[in-house]
Amino acid sequence: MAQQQRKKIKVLLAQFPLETHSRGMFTVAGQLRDAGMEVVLIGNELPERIIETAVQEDVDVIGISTYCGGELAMGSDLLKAAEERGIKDSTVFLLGGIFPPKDIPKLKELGFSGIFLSATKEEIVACIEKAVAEKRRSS
Amino acid sequence: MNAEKTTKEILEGRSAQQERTPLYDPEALKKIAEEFERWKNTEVPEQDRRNWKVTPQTIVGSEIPRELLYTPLNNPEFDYEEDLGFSGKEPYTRGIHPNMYRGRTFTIRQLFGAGSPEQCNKKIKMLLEHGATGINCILDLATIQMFDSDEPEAKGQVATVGVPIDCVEDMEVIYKDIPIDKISTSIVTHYPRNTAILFPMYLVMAKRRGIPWDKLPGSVQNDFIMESLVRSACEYIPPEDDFRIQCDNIEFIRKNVPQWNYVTLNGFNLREWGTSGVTEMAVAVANAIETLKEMTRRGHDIDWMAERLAFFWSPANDFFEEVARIRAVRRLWYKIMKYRFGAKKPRSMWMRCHVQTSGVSLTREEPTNNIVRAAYHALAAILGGAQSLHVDSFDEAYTVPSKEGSILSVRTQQIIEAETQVTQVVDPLGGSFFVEALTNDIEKRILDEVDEIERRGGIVKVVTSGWLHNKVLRHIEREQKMIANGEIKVVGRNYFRAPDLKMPDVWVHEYDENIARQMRDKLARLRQRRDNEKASSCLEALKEACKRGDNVMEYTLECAKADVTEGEMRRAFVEAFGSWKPPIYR
Amino acid sequence: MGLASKILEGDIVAAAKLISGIQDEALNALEEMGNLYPYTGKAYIIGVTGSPGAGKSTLVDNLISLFRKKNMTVAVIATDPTSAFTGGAILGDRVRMQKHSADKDVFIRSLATRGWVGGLAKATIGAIHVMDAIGKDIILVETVGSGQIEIDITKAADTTLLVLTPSAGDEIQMMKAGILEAADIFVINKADIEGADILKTDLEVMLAMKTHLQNDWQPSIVLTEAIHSKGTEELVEKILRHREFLISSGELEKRQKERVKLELMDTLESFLRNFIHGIDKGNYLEKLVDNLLQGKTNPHSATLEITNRLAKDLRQLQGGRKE
Repeated sequence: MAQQQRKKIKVLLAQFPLETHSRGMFTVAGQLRDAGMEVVLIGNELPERIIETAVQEDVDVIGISTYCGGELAMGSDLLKAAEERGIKDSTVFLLGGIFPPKDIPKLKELGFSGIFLSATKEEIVACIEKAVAEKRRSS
Repeated sequence: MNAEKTTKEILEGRSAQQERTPLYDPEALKKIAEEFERWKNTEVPEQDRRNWKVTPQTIVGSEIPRELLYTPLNNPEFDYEEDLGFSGKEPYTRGIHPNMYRGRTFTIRQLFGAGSPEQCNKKIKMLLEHGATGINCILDLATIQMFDSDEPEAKGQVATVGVPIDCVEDMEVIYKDIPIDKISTSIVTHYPRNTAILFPMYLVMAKRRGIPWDKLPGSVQNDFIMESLVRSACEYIPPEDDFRIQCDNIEFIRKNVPQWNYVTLNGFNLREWGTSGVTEMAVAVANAIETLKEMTRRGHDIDWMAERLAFFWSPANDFFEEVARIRAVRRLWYKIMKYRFGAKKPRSMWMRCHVQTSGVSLTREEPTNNIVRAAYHALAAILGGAQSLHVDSFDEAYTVPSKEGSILSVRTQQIIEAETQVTQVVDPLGGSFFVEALTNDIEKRILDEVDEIERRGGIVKVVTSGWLHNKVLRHIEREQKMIANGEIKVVGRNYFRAPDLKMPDVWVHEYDENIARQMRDKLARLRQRRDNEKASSCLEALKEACKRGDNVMEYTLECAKADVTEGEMRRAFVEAFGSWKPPIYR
Repeated sequence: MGLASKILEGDIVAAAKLISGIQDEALNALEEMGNLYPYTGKAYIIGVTGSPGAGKSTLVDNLISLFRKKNMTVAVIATDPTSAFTGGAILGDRVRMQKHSADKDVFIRSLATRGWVGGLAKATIGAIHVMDAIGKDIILVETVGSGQIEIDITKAADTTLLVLTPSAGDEIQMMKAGILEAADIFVINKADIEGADILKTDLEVMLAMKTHLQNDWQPSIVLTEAIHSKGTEELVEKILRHREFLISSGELEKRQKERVKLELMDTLESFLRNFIHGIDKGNYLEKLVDNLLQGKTNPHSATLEITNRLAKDLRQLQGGRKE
């Protein structure tokens, strides 16, 4: 009987094209790796390409790190591309960094289920594990 | 490696030959030593005896151990003339001018930006009316990353954090009716590539107004460390080509715009990304050394080249480390210029620096605490002898600085200058047993790290190989862990945290689609009205110049004249040099 | 519609899912792989190995562009190591190939080794099959590049490239350990660095000392500067020439046969290994271990007892198994 491994969680971490700060993204990448997840790190990329990458890598989570703004416009493009590609419902979308808290409701509406203005490693990992488990149950 | 001596070897060789006149009488030192032992063993509590040295932990600190008490015994070879000297004289430890702030107070710079080129122009005029003596123009994100306002990457971010510049026409609008030959203009072009693209646009604008270039005062940053190491981006060119552009820019500007500061070495942005104060300085110094080596190779006189070289530091939390750091690197720079490069003029040996207080050391929790932090940072920089200062506003860590915050920053500096009286005495901490010992220690550490970089092939090589990236990433990772487990105490966050903590709001400039549309329309019109054949041939010439090894700024200048846009020049560079990505997480 | 059928229609989402399933050793994945297997064997597989810092990913990026220019569709498998301590991994190779993410005919997939040593990931062979079945002409497999000997790639690929750079001093060490035997094409990347010509000469000398049979392929050496796309066209020509050689000399068939055999043995070993570890259920093993400690039995006798039990289990398995 083939042994079934516990399904690893695969996360894609990216930033929108003009983002200049990478500290957050690298920090989270290390934290997720330490929590046993597989992290595809692509850095700065256009929304459509982030989605195409997510498809090829079959990721559970797409995490965007943002400090320089533009997250509403680019975020909207991201979720739209995800829908067109048919992966919006099966993927967990996270956004972290620095942005106006008043944008949070709009971001949630777009489809970001996890939004972090500052979070500990434990909080992010817990959020991901919970969200991924839910998605896997419903699929 | 080759037979060439490293900087450290040269300096150590020289100091070995040095004749020193120790200040302290050996007899006195002997007596003090005896007393010290007795005091330590009888008066000092057991616990402190055992933990005589402690290592402080702060954000982006250098973890330099501190003893409980410092005495002449910490610096027995201390030679006043060799190690300290007088202010304005070699070795410049005490300052680059004899009278320092009594003669010329530190410059207060106001950064601003945001909005359309037209709005920017209005803002400049208003600031000048209110007595500003310098302009620091921040560019928007698309412009900094060298994208035109109509490229897909720029979506949603045109004119949000600064002013957009796509072509010469934008420069003309921004600086319309501004006396750019009387006001010092800092165009915050961080990178060599965007300096090579945007500065010629400024020059073309000046020429069209009939202002000769030798009348223009100002500065650019132009640091390849910013472009190839610190920033995140979707596209890079190989660091060695970026470095070459840095040198081309310096060469061109030095020749053609004599009053312009052509490079401001990092420094600040590197440390903000997340590294120690010692590494911050070692990287900037290594970059400076390699740049001057290249300039010498190109046949330029070292004194001519070094005249307007400037550094950009980031004073952070560890107060005395920050004071000692600036003194240390000032003395080290003098030694490097004199003994490694054979500089003759005093100006060449001055470590001129602008400082901006550390943003990464500020918190979003209880933001008013940051006023206190920034004040300490600023004070340390002044006690260290910085030439000009930008104090981060209390909300700068998480939002576009509010008016209130900006004013407080200026007040912080004014209070230091007018009320604390620290500026009345040159190098007031000089001679402190602790500060001198720390200065020596830090100087040695900086030189050791410079040596490590040189032994690994120089600054360009360690950036290309990813070694420096990984060093910083490891520091960031370690620091995160130390903050998480409380080893690094951050008041308000993990140390004395208010139970009912309310986080302040984050505010950004609203995105104005109208401005973006205006910029796009302008670009469309530009591409119609300009001579597109000429624009193409200028871009081809630029690419050829890149491959041939000619000074690229001469060719970007032609492009600017032909109304080539920023994005077009950026793409030309990538086509000529190839595309590169930093080796991350090996 | 099963994953296999979707993949045969070119569905990348399904292909990506199946590859994940293979990595997780999901039961349905193995079944789907069975459905897909008859459609494999068309793609040409190129292995890319070499030390860290040699520039493999940048080279692969170049190769993708060049094969695309020839109108070939391309797949890439980029391998990164799983942390032995945490079980997690950072997969950062594809960042250097990102410009192809807009190209629908390029499929790039990162795989973590998940404990496998030898340079490849546990799921690499399976992933190759999936990319083969979905119709990719060329499959580039980039190994971990740990600096250790990564021979496994030579068994998985038709053409193996070994990427070296003039600056790395331990290349010679690697060569002494046997990789010299296995690479078909040696690529000296970053050839603008001092020492490239010396390295080339050293390699040529070493290769000359190797005894070649008459019909053997003479390994070629290509100098490249992947960052500037120099020498890479020549490299592609050499790869295609190697492929022609393999086909015309019958070598390709031989290698593919060996490969299939190896995969069969690996699959069998994996099955048996899992089967054996399944014995560690309940107290059975514990009791045996206690008996050993007390000297009531010895390892050889214990093994015989276990194999008897396993045989019984196997018969039960076969009997109740749906085929």
